[in-house]
Amino acid sequence: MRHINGVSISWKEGDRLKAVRVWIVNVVRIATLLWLVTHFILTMIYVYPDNTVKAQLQPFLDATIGTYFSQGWALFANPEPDNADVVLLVRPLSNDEYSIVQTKGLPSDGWYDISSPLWTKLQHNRFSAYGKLSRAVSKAIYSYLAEPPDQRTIYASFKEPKNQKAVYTYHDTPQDPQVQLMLTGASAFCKDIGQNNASYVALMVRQIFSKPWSERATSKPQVVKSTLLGVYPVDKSVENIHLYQIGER
Amino acid sequence: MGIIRHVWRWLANDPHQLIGVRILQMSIGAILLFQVAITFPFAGYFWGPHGVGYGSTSSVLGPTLGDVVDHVYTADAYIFCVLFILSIGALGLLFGYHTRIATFLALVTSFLLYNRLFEITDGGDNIIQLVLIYMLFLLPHRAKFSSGQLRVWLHNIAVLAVIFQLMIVYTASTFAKLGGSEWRQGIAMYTLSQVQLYSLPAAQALFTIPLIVYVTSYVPLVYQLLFPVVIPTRFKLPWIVLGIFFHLGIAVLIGLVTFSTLMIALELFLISDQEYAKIWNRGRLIWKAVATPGHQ
Repeated sequence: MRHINGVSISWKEGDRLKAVRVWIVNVVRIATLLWLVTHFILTMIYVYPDNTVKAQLQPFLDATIGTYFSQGWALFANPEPDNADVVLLVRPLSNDEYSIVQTKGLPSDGWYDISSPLWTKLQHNRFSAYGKLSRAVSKAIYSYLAEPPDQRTIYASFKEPKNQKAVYTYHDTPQDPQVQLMLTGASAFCKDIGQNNASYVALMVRQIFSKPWSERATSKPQVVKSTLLGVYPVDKSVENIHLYQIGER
Repeated sequence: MGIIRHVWRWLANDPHQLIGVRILQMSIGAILLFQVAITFPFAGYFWGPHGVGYGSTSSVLGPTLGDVVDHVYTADAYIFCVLFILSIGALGLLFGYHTRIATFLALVTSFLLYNRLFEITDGGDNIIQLVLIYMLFLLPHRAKFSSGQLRVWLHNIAVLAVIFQLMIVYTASTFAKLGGSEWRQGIAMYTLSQVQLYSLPAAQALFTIPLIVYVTSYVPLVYQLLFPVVIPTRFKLPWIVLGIFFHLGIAVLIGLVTFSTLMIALELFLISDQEYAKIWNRGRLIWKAVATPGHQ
């Protein structure tokens, strides 16, 4: 009888443990299912067009989905596709040239287009790093241009130029991370082409706008707009990329 | 009540999309390996302390942990270590070796690179990050399981998460595109094709032809918008085939090779194991008929 009672008690304990285990597993199951539903409802609200619910939940959405499950596919879902080629023009300047620039403004010659050669190479070889190399600078330019001009970081001019064409800005280091990225790219270019005596570099963005759809078959020239970003000291510590040297071979 | 019971059984009993999971793992492994191979010569320039990268992990990990993790960006040697570990993760995914650990390694290292220089990424890199998080809960390759296990349930939740993510990518991008006048007018592909970074010289001329421009602008909109509606129906397979051609077009014309590969893999992920078995059997029959015409 004692033996039977013992078996009965241990069976009951085992049964209870099993029940608890099943209960915990079911709680986990329901919790994960609830997470799935909640997560994707929040994601939908986060990525779908603006509405009142989204406006109210924005801080929460930014702190959750926006931070840990970022959903940005700008190119794939860009409502207004980019309508311009953006080119970064670089003018390396020696110390002597820089002194002249301060009084006479920037020269019109000696500018290098560091963007187009990468596009050409990318078009010839899709299975290469040229896409990433050119996107680094192009995306920085697009982001810079997307900022309203009055909100872009303004650098103090070091001299009031007499010639209005020579309006440029100077700062030891760019405060805008996008311009900093462009400066690093430009410095790498200077290093690559052996411009070792270049202490400064002038940066300019050129936008070459596509013809509007209605003018595609006309001989009307494409609209070109240039924006001077400033003159900055060359970053001598930048990585050597051996990119443009390879291109010139 | 019947639907709830059906959903519960679907989630609890057996793991789904095992073939789709392998295709996705292999594709992500191949994509990451390819990215390591092409960016390796420029690793220091992209992510190193003297390169163009300027990002930090603090926005995700918080200032304290972020500052510690950001030490990875302070030397080129660390960046090469990150690439090496990423390669190991990618190889694991590609060959199905310790896939859960491989997924974790790939997630952590690609997160580090992604946050350092967002500018060189595309939508595909973003989706890889998201999908890798969900893939942590998938059953490891060749794992032994019993029906009704908790890990089977978690596997199926992860499968659903990947599917829902794909649906959201498609529908959200359609809604975003519809917000732009050029997509509504059907001329967006003309504009996109004229930008050299995203196009080919031949495509620039091709996309001045109105019919081609209208079709290539409107078809993706309709395709993406109807995607969640069509996938549960019997038109699923033709829709997936159409999607594969759509993404091959993106790879060739826009040059987003890795993005297109990932999207094709995600579409193939939607095909169930039973459907793959049917396709395989039908393919074998067709192959037999073609290979031995004398028997006809």
